[in-house]
Amino acid sequence: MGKRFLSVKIVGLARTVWGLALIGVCVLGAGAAERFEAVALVDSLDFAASKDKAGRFLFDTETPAGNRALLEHVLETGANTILWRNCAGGTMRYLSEETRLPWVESPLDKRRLPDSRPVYGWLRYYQSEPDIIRDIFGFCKEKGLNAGIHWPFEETHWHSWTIGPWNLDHPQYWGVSADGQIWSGRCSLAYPEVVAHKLRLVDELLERGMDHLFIDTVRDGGWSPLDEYVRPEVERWRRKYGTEPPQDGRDPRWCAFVAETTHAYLVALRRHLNASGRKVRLMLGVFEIAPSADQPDFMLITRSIDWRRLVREGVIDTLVVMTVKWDTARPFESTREIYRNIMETCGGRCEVLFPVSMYNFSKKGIPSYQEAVKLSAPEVAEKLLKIAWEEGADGICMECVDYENYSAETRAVLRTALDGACRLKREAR
Amino acid sequence: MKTKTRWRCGALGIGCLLCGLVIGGYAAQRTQGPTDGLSCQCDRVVPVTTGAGNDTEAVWSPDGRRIAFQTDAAGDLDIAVVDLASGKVTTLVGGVGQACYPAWTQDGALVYVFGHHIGTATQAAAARADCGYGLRLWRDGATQVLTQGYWRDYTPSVTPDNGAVLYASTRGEDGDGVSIWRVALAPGAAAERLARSNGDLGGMVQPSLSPDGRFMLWAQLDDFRQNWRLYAARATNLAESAFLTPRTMGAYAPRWSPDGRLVAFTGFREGDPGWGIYLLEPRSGALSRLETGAGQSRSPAWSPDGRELVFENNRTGAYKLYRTRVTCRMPPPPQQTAKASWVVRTEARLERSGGATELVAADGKRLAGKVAQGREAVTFERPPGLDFGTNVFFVKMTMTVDEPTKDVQMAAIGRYAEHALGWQMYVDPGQRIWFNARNPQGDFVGARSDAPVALGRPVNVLGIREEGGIVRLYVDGKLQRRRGAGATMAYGPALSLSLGQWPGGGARLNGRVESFECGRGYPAGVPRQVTREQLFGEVE
Repeated sequence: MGKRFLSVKIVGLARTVWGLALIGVCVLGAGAAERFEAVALVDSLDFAASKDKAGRFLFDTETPAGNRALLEHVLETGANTILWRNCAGGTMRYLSEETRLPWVESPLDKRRLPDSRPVYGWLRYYQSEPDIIRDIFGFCKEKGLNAGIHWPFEETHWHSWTIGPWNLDHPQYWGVSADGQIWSGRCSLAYPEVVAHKLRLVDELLERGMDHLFIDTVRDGGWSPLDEYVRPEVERWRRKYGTEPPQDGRDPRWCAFVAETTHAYLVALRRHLNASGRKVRLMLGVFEIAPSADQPDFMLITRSIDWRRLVREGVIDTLVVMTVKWDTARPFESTREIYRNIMETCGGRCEVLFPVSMYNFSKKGIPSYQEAVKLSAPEVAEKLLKIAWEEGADGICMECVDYENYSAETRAVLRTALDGACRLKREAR
Repeated sequence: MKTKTRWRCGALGIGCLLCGLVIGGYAAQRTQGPTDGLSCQCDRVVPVTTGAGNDTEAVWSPDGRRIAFQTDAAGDLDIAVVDLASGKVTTLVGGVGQACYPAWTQDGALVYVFGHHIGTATQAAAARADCGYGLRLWRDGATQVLTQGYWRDYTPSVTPDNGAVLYASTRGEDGDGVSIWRVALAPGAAAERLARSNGDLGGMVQPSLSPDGRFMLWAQLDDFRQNWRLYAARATNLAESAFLTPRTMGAYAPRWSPDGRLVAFTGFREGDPGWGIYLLEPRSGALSRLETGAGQSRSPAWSPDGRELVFENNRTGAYKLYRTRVTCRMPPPPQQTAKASWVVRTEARLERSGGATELVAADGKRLAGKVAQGREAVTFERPPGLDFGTNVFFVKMTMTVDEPTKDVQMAAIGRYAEHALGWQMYVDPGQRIWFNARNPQGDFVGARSDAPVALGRPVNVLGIREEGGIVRLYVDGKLQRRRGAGATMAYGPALSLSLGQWPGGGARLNGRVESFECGRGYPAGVPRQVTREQLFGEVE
């Protein structure tokens, strides 16, 4: 007991000293320094089933009041940028004209299996009024927050009901595997019609006031080169190489080849945002970043995205690092080294955000750090924030800011640092 | 409920006729490419409905004079009927709420689906509302509720004897599952589930009986990564089904022809311009795609004389109904073998006697195992007979798990050149049992036990990888709900078989493998995936 008390006191004292030191650094350099960004990825669906101790639902996420309440909870983390999910898979969470038909509501399209889970299975964000995205953007702007979109793209890695209505009605653009299996969860960006559809979705968001667009690549379905054996890609390969494409969809030559198409889409998206006449920030999520650029690039092999090229060519404004392959034997040290490499790769050509993430699907989030270093979640969160700040990042990204996913203590620790020691960016090394 | 009448197209009059001539002109007398022995042609494609809104899910009345459909012309879905002689459209079920999926009874009434979810999901849950989608019966302007609850009943069809309604339902499900249900067409009848879907990832939709009542037909999605396929089974044994369409094709919305010789459905194959109307000869599997012109064509339904199809098409922007005459040259009857090849053979069986741990092959040869020191785990190098290719195989064992661990506990694993973890039977850290195989890319495809494994007592487990890549798991004789699909890896000769651990050690089973056998085909007493030939040819 006494030992634990002593430990807490020491940690508290260390925090105070560190905080004071950083405040000093920030104040000295405050002349030109910008606000250190804290991005929260918000998935309202994840709040929908949260209940209080009496069993009452806490957030009616189909109403403005419910969404504002959950946003207040999110803001306890100190977040100053809100990226709200625009879709679950291909089903939009606002009054989308582009995807109004065929009917999204189950069971009105018999190709989409209904979700029967209590509450989740009966949510109808696509017809909630007022329009959810418009309402959230308005609310964020009232509060002086950056408001943008977290676009999981075609997040079709689990449920059939996530597959979008546009996909269901356009099988001619579906993904195809090397052995000829078609799949509705993916429409290939190799077709101009698919690119045009995606850009029309962007137009709907621009019209609603989107200033920040974060393209998520973690959620599978939309990106894998395994399903890109579509006619235009296969014919392009034949023209370029005079052979049939490799049958292994993870063949690095095939992945790099498909990445050209993905790259072209992101360039087209960049131009489309520029053409809107507004300054709209394009953010790209990357994950499983290896310690060294010499190692196989997970993003290229599994998502056919060459993020280094996107940075080099100035296509994206912000690189959002979702996870890095830190070493379990040297968790924080290796994290810092990878961050340093990433900062060097980006070389100031774009902003960089590093993760302070409770999301732990790839076993690289806060819970896995906790296991490796035997510290509490608040302590790990604070440490990761500190590393990101010290390595000259432009901010952090918090993933899965669901109800109580970041505990009250974690939220308090983050908020204190973001309002104090890490309020402003540290000058880049 | 209100009834309203609209005139959309006067007596299929001049406007429709001209439209039909224009649209029908290019579609007439065209046959679609490879037909696998079934050659079908459609005649001119003639509009049935015009005007605003999407008209879909058409069904032809038993007397052939009317077509019922759902329409969103007024906003939400209503049920309407078009009189084919006059072209007059009458809304039978209008007003607030979704009225959809009409199905005629043999005596001219309509079964349909109705849903009206009031308020938000949270409000409905708090109020314990029962505002899901249920079945209703419309007869002469009066409506009777057949089913109702906070679930979704949909895609009804009326049995040929007019005694019951078959339909898809989420009743009793807590994931994405959709199962086949039946309710008698009688007041107050209780509904019963006839077949249960694949766990929380698969569903069975749009069931119907063949005109002779012997076979059930439906569309099935085995997993979100798969395509919709058509399945059929004997009406008396839905557990043993056959798939009628290939894995690489999207196929749904099946309808028997009135003579039972063909099935019309919505289909797509790589290279098609979009969704199209396909005809299937179910006994041979022969397919023919109708050339219905521009746009997506979906949800065909037969005229009662079997000469025409009505379907929905969006060539004008919105989905409207069209009809066309169809003629088919049937394929030759499939060669019927006297006996289907049910290869069932145990290829490897564990035997422990006198301190020796051996694997006994099908020919009686024995292979000594390398027993891990001080443990009951054993590895057999290059066991013969486990080269299952893409065929059906099973893994059957009895194991006892003494204690949970925070790591995976491996019960059995086959190592192959194709994948080091080719197939596995194991217990996960949450104490669920898994049996998994692989897809051609080597990805994991697994079936999971419904509940954590019982500790400290022998548990009988049986895993089966079926020909279409379905992976099933039985625990103590009971089929577990969560199945896998797409595990079509072709297995060459096994490099090793390990029991109670990984091949190189590790992931030790905290317990014992009491017995083990694996082999080809289905063990006795297990429902089989039957072939088309076995299903329709009555071959055992």
